[in-house]
Amino acid sequence: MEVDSAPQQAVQEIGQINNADLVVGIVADLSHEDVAEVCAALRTLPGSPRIVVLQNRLASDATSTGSDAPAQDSISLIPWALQNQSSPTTSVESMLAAYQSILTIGKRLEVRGCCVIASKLEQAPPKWVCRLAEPLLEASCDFVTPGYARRKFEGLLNSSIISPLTRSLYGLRIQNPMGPDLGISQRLYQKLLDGEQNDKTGGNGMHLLASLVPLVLCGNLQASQAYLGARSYPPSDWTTVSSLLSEILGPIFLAMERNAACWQRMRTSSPVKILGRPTSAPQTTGTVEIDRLVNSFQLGIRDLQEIWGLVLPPASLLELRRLARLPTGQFHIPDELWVRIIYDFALAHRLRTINRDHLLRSLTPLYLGWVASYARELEVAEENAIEQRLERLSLAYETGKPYLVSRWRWPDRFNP
Amino acid sequence: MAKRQGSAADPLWYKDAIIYELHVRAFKDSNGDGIGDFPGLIQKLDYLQDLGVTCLWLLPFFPSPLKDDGYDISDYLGVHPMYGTIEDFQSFLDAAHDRGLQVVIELVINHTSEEHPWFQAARQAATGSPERDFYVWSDTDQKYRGVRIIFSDTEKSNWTWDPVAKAYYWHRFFSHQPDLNYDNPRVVEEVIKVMRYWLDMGVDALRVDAIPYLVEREGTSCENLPETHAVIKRLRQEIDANYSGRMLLAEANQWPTDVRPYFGDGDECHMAFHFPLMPRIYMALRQEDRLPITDIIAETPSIPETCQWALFLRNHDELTLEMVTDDERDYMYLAYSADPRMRINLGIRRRLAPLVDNNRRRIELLISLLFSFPGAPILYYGDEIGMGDNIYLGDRNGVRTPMQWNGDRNAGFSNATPAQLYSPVIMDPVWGYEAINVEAQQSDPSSLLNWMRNMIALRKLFRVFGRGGIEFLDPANRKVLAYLRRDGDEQILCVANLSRFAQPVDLDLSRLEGMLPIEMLGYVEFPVVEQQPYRLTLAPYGFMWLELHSKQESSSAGVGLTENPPLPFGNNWGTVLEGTEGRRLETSYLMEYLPAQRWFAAKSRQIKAMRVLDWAVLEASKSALALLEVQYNTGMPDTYLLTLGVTQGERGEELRRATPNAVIAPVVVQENSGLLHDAVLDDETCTALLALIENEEQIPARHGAVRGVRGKAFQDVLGSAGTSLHVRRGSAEQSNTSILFGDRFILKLFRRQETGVNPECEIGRHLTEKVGFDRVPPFAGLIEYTPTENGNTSTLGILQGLVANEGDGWKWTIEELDRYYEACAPLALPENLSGELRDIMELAERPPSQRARDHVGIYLDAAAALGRCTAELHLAMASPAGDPAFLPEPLSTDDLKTLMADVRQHASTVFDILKDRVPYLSDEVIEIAGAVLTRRRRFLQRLEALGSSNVRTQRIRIHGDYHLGQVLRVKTDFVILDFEGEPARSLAYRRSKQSPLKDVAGMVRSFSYAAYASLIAYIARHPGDFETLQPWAQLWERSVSAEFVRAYRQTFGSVDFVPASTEEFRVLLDTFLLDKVLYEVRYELDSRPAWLRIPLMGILSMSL
Repeated sequence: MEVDSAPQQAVQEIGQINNADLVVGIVADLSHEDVAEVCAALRTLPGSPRIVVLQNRLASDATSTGSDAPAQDSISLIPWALQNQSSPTTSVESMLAAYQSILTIGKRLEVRGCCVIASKLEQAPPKWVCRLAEPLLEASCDFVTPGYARRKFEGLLNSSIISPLTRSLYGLRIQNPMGPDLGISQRLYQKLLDGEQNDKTGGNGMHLLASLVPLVLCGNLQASQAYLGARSYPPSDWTTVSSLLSEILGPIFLAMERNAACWQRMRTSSPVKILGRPTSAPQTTGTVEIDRLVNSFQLGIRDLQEIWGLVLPPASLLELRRLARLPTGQFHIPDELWVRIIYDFALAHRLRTINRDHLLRSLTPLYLGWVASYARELEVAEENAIEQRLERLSLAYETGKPYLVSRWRWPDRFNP
Repeated sequence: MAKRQGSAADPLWYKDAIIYELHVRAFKDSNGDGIGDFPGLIQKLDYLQDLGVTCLWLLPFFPSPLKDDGYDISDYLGVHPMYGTIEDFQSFLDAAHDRGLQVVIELVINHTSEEHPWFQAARQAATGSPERDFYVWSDTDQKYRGVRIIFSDTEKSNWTWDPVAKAYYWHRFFSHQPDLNYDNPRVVEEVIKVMRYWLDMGVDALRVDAIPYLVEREGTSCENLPETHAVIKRLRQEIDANYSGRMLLAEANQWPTDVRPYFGDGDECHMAFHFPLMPRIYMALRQEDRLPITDIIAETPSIPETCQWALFLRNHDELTLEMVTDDERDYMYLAYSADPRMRINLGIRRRLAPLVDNNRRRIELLISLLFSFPGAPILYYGDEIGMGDNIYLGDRNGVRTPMQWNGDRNAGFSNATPAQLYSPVIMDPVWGYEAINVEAQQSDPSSLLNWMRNMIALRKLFRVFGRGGIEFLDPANRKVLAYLRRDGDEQILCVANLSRFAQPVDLDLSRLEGMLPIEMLGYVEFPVVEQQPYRLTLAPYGFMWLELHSKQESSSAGVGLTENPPLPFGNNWGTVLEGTEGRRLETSYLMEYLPAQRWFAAKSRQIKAMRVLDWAVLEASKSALALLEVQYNTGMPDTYLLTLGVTQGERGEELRRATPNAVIAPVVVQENSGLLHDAVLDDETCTALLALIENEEQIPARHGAVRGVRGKAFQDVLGSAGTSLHVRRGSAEQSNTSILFGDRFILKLFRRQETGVNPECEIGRHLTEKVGFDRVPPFAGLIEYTPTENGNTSTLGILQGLVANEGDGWKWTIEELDRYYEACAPLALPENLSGELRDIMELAERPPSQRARDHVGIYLDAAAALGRCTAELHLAMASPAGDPAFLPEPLSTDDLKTLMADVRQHASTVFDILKDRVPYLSDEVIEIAGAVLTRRRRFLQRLEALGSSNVRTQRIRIHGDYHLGQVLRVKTDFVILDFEGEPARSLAYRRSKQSPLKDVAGMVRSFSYAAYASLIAYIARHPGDFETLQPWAQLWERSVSAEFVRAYRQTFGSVDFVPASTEEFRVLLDTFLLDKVLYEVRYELDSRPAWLRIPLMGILSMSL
């Protein structure tokens, strides 16, 4: 990741700025008022830090925000064209390019940290952006992750795999390890660059976001979680789950491989520093089509047995077969089974048992099955039951960690 | 100019390396000519990456007539056309680096091929010309007589006549390999050019072949000479000045103590092979007894932090048996080479799998040992699939056959017609390529290859294997080898069953009480360690690696226990040394840190609690001194001195990498992370300590004061203004920490603190400032601490002048003895030696015999000088100069009675312990121990007789822990060091007045130790009969001891503190000798069973 990979136009504009304390990159499609609110909040930060705000130029109504700025402002608002960065082909790649660009500019300006605003937030507390920025400016923290108000059926990939897996592996109890709204210190970014420079074992293209938590843990850095309100998620598109799984889990599993010596030392998890308080959000009325998801699962049982047979031990395969025979009304994937499935897929990824992309895509019916199981369980649950349910899942990941470590260390196919 | 970085990010990469040794010729042929080449090797790099090795060691691939498998180089800067081109090599190097693999190549610089242009020019050139001077020439073949011939099967002399040059040239190996002349600076410069050529290409490391033989000197063995070390230092300087992340690996087939100097003070080679370990692993396996391994590891000295041993089970040469005794070699031949064709030179030419009869469990056990011993393991190509050998091929070619890739023609090694191959592939039914090959094993989940890959991956997960120290446990069942490896807070227990049957073992892990062992391979939790012996049962040839986790970190998941967060370091040291954070430091971080320090003396005691008693800030460097009280479950507490510093940023990271053991805790300073660590690593802190003394500063402590005191000799020692005082740290200390300032001062920090007058300071000051005794390092100052509460001062450190020397007396003596045995071994033992082997006191009545003088030579003069020096020390110690602490006092009859009673009690205890331990002693020691035990009654009777003697003498202050390691050889004399006394004794005892003959006895026993330790080492290197050489050892020991005593007594006129009569002198000396030898027996029983025979023989040789 070279500095020159920042968008050319933004580079020219920031070329006139010698240095700054903070870069805030707005990736989300925020309104003029929202951006103005962000800038206003940033102006309240103690010590009047010099801040560069990169505003996504293609966002709606993003042309005149700077005109409201006071004459001697500590904030420089620079329009910034995310789409010019490269030619990303997926939303994940596009997002990654934006992060890289923001961090690159931050490095050029020798800032203390960078914040990325990638979500449209609802019921956000006042000055929420300061919660991301302040720990970086105070240098009390290297990685500020977001906490969002939970909604039953949103962010399920994160809830079912990313967050509990991160907690189990790296011992950090954070709700959204991959953001998308984040604060990243310059020190953490430098470690990321050093890691990329030193890694000669096939880590090219590793997802930036998947590397952050391992770097925090293995580099003895500090992480925190800032509650930011409720996040607006795009509607679930179950047809693109396969590619999403491949794009997201691939880098996470690669980071596991790279940091095995580190996470295998960690035997407990602990809470991180919390900024703000969790809030609740009205549960949307959207529903999950459980029957359709269970059908997808059963289709997988029929079509993917051969691949799963290479990945999963016989006991897991047998349990899955039993599940496939259950009527939808009784369909339930136990947490222990789900956790073992994820761990076995992570191991198969490491061992290159089959093509990695094929491997991760073959997880799709299992994931949809888990979503169905979860949705059936929480269909009529109260809001506070969500947190308890996900905590139980996280504990199952932690309890199952010895299974992962033993399989990782001695990946004998001859196992129960 | 910026240094050229190697391919690895971590400059200490070699400490964690897993090295794969291969010959390009044997690995993969890409062009069908029957010979492996670089393009072929490149094709196979993915295989090596997948296997998990991290470093490739390539045997010589340079242009060569190949009369010695490429170790006869005719062009240092090229690639042999058989293997490819220099471009091919560069492509290989880049491809290896792309896969994260480091590359080691050979630096064969002791000699060249006779075809090398340098030699061709030299033989044509005129005598004395620069070209001629590249090699070692002589008009006679009588120069350097007595230097051993290494290839004695083929070479009759180290000199060969060259008819062109009309002179003899020197060669330690084959006559077609003339030795380069390292006395010629141009040779060194040319070698540096060669080295730079390859390092500039990106090569990560160089294996320096035949390193002990670079320089020759008359009257020496022409091995391991100081001038050779100077050359190596020069090469290392060149690397350090221009490159980073590179490594030098020394090939010195020598005893570990002889290899140790090749590490220097971290300024010679980074790595060296551990040759004697390898045969002893095989011996331990076959004998089903751990002693061969534990003995050799016990005799392996510590090496600088940045250095590493290279360990191997097999390599391209024979399994060398040079480093074993005759009996051991015979045993190894019988055990591992039933067919005489399996033997070559002094070794066995077999691969790993055939050596252990293709037994998978034995192979796995040996690999587990290789991977878990302290060092970087080396795998020889093919051993990962259990390849066999071909003993019908000549030389060592049987273990150099083509790599077996698959079951196709030529084992997939080459497309050539079989007759074209450089060597036939192995084809027999058991070992042939159709049965054993990579492809088959890749598809077999239970294959050795897959097992090996898993083991390599597992080892790489644990830094402790490469970086940690080792401590052997001593279970009663000697078929079980158990050891702890520890690196910072990472700790593992390794247990191995050397027997072909299942074995039980009880391990004393009481000091690890509360730890949770987790079996590493399966991540299976074992029962928590308790006070009782920890019982394990091991399958035949089974091994077990157990991670040890503390209870806290092992608590069940999800219960919310937080890990120990960093200490917040505020605006003063009180933020981490006091209050809540101070408690956390005491109860958590220091509990981990302190027991891991070499200077922490109470490793066997159970620590109950720690408490920072007081602390003071060194303003100049923002570091602190702290006194830590350590309380134990039983017994009195100790106080330790800590030097504390905080480092952040890059320097902190470097410190964590390079010296993890010195890190105490993570800290957060103004929201930035950093490390709390031993501040001795910080130059500014060291300089501040020196300034404290120089300026006689006093700094306030929380509850007292720290004060620097400048000695009268400070300025004289410092010398003129502008003297360089660059800071270095001593590398081989046990109980203290030394800091060196240029070539002027040494500051010794006393880690274990005691209130009261420190004897080393007291005596040093007395000798330097009051009586002007100059045979000790001049006292230049001290640092002391006085608490406000009671004013009981303790000494934190002493500053002394550095004394230029030729090494300590022990090392110097061992070198002398090595030469002595070299000279005496070929000689017939003189008849009628009994005259020279009489009692020391009798011998000391007259000058040494001519025979003793003929053989022992100049060491007799040295012994006399040491005797005089000791006597003068005692005279100085008995000169009070107004100080009552040095006033001689009568040694009363009651004192003598008490002394004798103590010695008798000590004797009874030691004999009892020896009797209990007999079943556990090695066979060769059991016999001697038995003989000693039969003398118990006579021994005690002798003590009774001594006790009834009436001796009139005085007590004075003495050295108290006097032996050869406490003196420095300085030109033709000695300087005496270390007046601390025996560290385990109380301060009051160490300051007490005693008979000076206790010092005399200490030195006499030290002569005995030197004589036999050197003999044991000599026998190991030059196998021969111990019994034959033992009289030579006795001759040396008796004559040297007698000369020492004679000179000692002659130096005095009439003094009251040494009995004037020979009989009274003998009574006292014998008493102290008996007491000392008993102490030695007990010490060796507990710590070094391999050396037990030395004090036991000491007892047998006493006139009882």
